[in-house]
Amino acid sequence: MFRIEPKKSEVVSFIVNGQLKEVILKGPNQTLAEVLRIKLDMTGTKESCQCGECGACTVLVEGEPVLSCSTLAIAVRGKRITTIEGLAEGGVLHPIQQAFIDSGASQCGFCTPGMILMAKVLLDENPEPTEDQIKEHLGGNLCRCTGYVKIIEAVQLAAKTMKSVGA
Amino acid sequence: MGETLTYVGKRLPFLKNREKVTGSVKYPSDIQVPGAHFGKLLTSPHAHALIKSIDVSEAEKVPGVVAIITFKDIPQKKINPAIVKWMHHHPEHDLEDMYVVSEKARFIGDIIGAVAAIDEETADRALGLIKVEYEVLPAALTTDEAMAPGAPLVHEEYGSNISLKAGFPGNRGDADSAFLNADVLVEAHVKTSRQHVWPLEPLTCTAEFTYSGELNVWTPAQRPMTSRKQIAELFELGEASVNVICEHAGGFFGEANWSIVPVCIALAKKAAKPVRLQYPPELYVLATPSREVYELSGKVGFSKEGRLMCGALDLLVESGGYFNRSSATTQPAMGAFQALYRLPVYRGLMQAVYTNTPTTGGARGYGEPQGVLLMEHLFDLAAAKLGKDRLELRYQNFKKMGEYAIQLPMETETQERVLRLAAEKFGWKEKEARPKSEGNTRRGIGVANYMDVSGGQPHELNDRHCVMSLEEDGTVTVTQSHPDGGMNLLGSCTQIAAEVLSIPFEHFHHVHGCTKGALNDMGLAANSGLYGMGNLYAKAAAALKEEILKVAARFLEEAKENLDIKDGVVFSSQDPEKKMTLREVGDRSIYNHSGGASHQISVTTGFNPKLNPAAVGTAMADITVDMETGEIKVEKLLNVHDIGRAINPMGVEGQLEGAMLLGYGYALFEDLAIDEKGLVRANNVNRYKMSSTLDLPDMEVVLFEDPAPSGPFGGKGVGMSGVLGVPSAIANALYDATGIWLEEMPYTPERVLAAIKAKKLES
Repeated sequence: MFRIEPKKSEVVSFIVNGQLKEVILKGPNQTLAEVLRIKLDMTGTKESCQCGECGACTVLVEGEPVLSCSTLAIAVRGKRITTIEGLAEGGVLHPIQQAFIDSGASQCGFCTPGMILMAKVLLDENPEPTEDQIKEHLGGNLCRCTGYVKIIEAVQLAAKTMKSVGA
Repeated sequence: MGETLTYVGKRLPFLKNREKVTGSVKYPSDIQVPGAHFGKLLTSPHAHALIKSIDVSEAEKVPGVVAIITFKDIPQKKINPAIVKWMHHHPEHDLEDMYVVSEKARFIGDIIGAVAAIDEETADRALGLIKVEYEVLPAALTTDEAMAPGAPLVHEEYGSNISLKAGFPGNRGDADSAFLNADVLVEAHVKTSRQHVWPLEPLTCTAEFTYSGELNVWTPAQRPMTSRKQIAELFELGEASVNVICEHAGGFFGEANWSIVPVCIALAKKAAKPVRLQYPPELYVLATPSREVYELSGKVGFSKEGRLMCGALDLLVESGGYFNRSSATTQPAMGAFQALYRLPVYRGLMQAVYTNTPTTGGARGYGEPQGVLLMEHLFDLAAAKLGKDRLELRYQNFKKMGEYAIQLPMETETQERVLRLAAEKFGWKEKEARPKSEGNTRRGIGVANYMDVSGGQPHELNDRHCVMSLEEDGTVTVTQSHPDGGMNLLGSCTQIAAEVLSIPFEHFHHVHGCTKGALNDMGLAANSGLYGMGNLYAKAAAALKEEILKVAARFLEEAKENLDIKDGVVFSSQDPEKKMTLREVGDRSIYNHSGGASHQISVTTGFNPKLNPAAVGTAMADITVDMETGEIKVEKLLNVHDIGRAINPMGVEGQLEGAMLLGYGYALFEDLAIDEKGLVRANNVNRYKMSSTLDLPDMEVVLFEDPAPSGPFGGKGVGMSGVLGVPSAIANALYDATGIWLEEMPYTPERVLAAIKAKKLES
């Protein structure tokens, strides 16, 4: 006979896009991606391969890129998390977001959130990356639509705008 | 071209891109229906097995389990998962051989049953308690095994694993005597690989029956209306009671997979609760079709002057466990063999063969890259034998105006100009003059021409409808059933409508990706989007303009013939005082209290294409081959594509660049790698290599524009086209560099090196 066993739940809190969020985990093995997508209904973070290979689930934890499908929510308790929903400020798109639009770098858009967050990490560290540096940096983010040409152009365009506005 | 266009031809932002870059677009996999239960699939671990019994009694006892289905719980009707039979004029070639839950396991991953439970863990626990007694059968894992005498039968009812033998589009002339009379004969053989187009969005389905007996289904549906049709037929529902919803999808690429949809619906029906079903990645590639797998043998004969006299194509389709698109994709493959060059005598035969492997068929390109691969290589072989230049031999044999593309007349003759432009942009002559050897490497260049379609005409019904309405605020709303799959099709069509109506592009609203409230539409296939939908939008916009001018003529007391629209304002060409904004027209027309004349200005429009302008193009590849490792490095890929007119050049470039990279991966490394037990080894992206930025070759796209008379502003199809020439150009470049023609794809370093050793080649 089976019975419903009480589950060990755990409360974790973190700051997502500047807001404090408290979440009851259904277990210690719940991933950050699942918490963001299902518990917090922030579906801008995408999940594709679920094995940390495609980059679609990339979010920033304390500014560093993290694969949220392969990261336990518990492991980032108390940390500052940035998701794609947190990039535009006051209705104004981040220059990288605008560059993705202007360059036609987003087709189906499923890889776009992860791609943009990865690009942000690069441009925050290196405002004038070479084409090879962009390719190297985005090597873990798969896109099946664009052939990457316009994504690379978008990052180059964003670098230019960010430099001119001093972002 | 003379005319000034405001919206057509402009690099406008793609529709809904602001939502995409902010993560606010909702894909079917993002939909969370309150109270949805979690579905899990039970699949076969055996490549071929009878199911003696399934005991679900223990699984049913698990608290939280709401439904378990096996073969006996599903509609006892066979379907074809490609759900294209309503489109095809000859549906008898789309064999219906699949139950939505199998009565017998035909490949590893075949769906045997499913569970719905309150959460994933409970569903997993129940799944583990289902006892299946299999009788493992000998399996036919290759076409050779499947065609051998006494082979185990994948589908007993056909009495053979060969399910279909057919020609396309029919033989012409006396091939035997033509081959005897030809001065030069060349032949080639190739077995193509299992690329999986692998859209990034995980395949999910959420099904919910409402209390009024209607059914809502959220799933990435490339063709929502045919999905609705098949669901209605299977579950004996009225078509209008089924609502298939897919506003956006994380990529389609032709796959339009359908196999989990009815399983999910069956679970929701039995549970009387909403159910969400998702393929885990490792199951996804087993249970969704890969690119069509062919063994192609081709032979062509030329006169000594270099005229193509005759050709023959034998094509073996490996269907895998189910027939799926074995016919639908093979027609384009055979078409591609004879589309571009005048081929007076032709004999073709396709045979579809079942094996105990995952089902194939229906990837972006739809058989055409394989047909191009073979024919373009035969041209290179013939050029060598004839002592002719590779490009010259092609120029000599291109079809001319007045000839038929495949089964419809050519509308423009651009092949030669496209190839000449490609040769110029690529620097063909200069590259050809370089030394072939350099250190440990050899260099080669390859060319491949293709002639793609702009829809499935004349073989398919591609009827489309939309409703286009003027709103009281002067904007226009378009309602139709298409999803946004990432091609910016709706954006391009809006540019067309904006041009026709002279209404700002930003003043359009879209209701899309939902069958409820939309009129019939056969959905996207065969490069049909821009041509079919673009013509529909152009036609609807012209009709709406007519209605707007009729109403405005009354309000302005001016003859309709004197009125026109410019930038959202109706004006008279005769009297500058007589003008009104579309807002005024729309608002006054609705809130018109005089004499019951109130109405919203709106048109319902249909477009059923009869023609099919051919979208031709040329791919060129410049490669080096490392003679010590066998590695091919692609230095340059070029694709010139005749788009007729680029409605949004940025979008067209994006379509071609993405498709070219798919073709590049197809040629060089993408493969599901099925082992000797029938198991897919490359079952997730950590094992299946797809191109990343690190693999990206130098790719260049050049758009060639010569408007097609029947296209919207001259536009033609493009979605699949970039895949067609690239694998062939790479293969021909390898042949140019080394004399190696690999009879098996993909062209991995191991295969190339083995061929180098077999030929005892040195750098």
